[in-house]
Amino acid sequence: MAYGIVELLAVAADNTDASVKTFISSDNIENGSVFTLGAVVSGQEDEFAAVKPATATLTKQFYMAASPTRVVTVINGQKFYDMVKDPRAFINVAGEPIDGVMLKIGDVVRLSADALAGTYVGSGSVTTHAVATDGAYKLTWATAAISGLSLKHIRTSYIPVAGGFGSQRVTAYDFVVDAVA
Amino acid sequence: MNSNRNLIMNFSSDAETITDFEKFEEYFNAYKSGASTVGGVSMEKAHQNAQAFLTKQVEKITNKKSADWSNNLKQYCGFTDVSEAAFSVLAVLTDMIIPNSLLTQLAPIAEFHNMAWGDTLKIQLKPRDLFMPSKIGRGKRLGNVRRMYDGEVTIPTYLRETTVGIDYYDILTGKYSLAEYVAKASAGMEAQIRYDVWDAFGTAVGALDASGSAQLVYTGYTQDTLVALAEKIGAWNNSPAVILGTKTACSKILPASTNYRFDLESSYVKEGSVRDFFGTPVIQMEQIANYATEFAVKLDNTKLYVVSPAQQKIIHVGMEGGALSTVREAKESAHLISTGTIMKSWGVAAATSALAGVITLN
Repeated sequence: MAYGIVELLAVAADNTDASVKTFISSDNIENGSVFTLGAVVSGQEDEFAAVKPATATLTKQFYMAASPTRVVTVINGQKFYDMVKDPRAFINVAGEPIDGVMLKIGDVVRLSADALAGTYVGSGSVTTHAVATDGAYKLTWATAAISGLSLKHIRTSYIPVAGGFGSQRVTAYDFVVDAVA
Repeated sequence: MNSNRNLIMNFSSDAETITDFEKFEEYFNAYKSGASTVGGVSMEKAHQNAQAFLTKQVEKITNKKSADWSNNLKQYCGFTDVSEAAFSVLAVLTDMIIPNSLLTQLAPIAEFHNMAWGDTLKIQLKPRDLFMPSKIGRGKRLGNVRRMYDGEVTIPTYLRETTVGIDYYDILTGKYSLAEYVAKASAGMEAQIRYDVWDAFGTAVGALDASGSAQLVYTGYTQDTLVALAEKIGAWNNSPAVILGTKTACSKILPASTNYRFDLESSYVKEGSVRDFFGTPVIQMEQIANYATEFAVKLDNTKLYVVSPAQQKIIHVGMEGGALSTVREAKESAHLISTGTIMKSWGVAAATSALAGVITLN
């Protein structure tokens, strides 16, 4: 299974330390997925729980997972790092620190097709946005913005990933954050 | 990682022996190409030298002189350590000959990697894409922060084994030779590696896009299609392209204009195809027998491939460890059959950032 890849093309968090936080979750969370700020982890100075989006929290401040792609392979409870060199094999494994970036209106991000739920069915009036969804970390394709985190699709793009033979372009979509509340 | 060369160096402790091994390699290549002389001596003399070399190595390992058993050479050859030594020398020779022989013919598409036992072949890949600029205002510090990712392909190796056997009675009567069977088994290993390389290459190239701007797989030869494909491969590989095909396939490469004429001395008639086609070299690949089906051939006569040999090779072959051999004496078998076994471990896969294309002839 291929996991999502994220590129933070131009985000406000680039210049603000307070906008980049460390999260932890008991779920596996793909890069490009979103969550809200939970309680600070007991005994930790700078680690917060990642809270899965819910109807009641769709209008809260969201963070997007954007960790370095260090693939963790878990075998019999033991963790092995970098056995696979492919960003599509990377997921923030439960219990591992996640780099979460605060999304602001105007931020531009690039998400691989795997980072999104639902199906892209074309630009224009069909699938124009990716939005936060109740019960899912992944953003979901939508035909309109919602009252809550909404990213507007601005361009279909690609992310170069070397591997195997033939095409090295992973389909991706560029978004600008349209609304955060 | 080590190399088969190192194995041979370890096996042969003195410079004289190394030279003998190299001479044997030279002899093998000359024998295979049908030469009548090698290194200034006749093939008959070279054959005697090769026999003497093999005997010398066996004597060195076993510390048993064959001359002491000249009255009963069969008994000498029947000693377990003598036959073991003979086959271990053969295994080293197999290691030395197989890669060189394969390299010569598969060089445009495959790269061979020699590994120690237990090693896994990993091919590191860099993206072929570039970061392209975009227009930006004069007062803006950063453009969009973009990136790309390297890749890695792991190629597992698998052990292959061939066992051949002959009846003890046939050894006694001299009708069959186990060594001859083992030589054929070695040749079978070489053929199988060659098949694996071509199968992996054909499958990988055939799976590329067959439509749209990314098209690299075409059906139907035309001058324009071939020239445009060679241009595309050369441009994206940033390295000159060549056209590969069997003699039959390459003979179909002709200009669109039917006003061509060639005389009997032309390269087309003498060699079976043009040497260059609109600036792209044409390389004929030697057809090989497909032993899976009687009288079938392995290379597809309907395919013209376009590759850039100077770029990263399309196919990578990992050769794990050296060839192994075991011999079971006839008297160790309940039904008196002497066996020889050759084992070799290798893996083959397409792993590259280079591109290739294919045209299936009409």
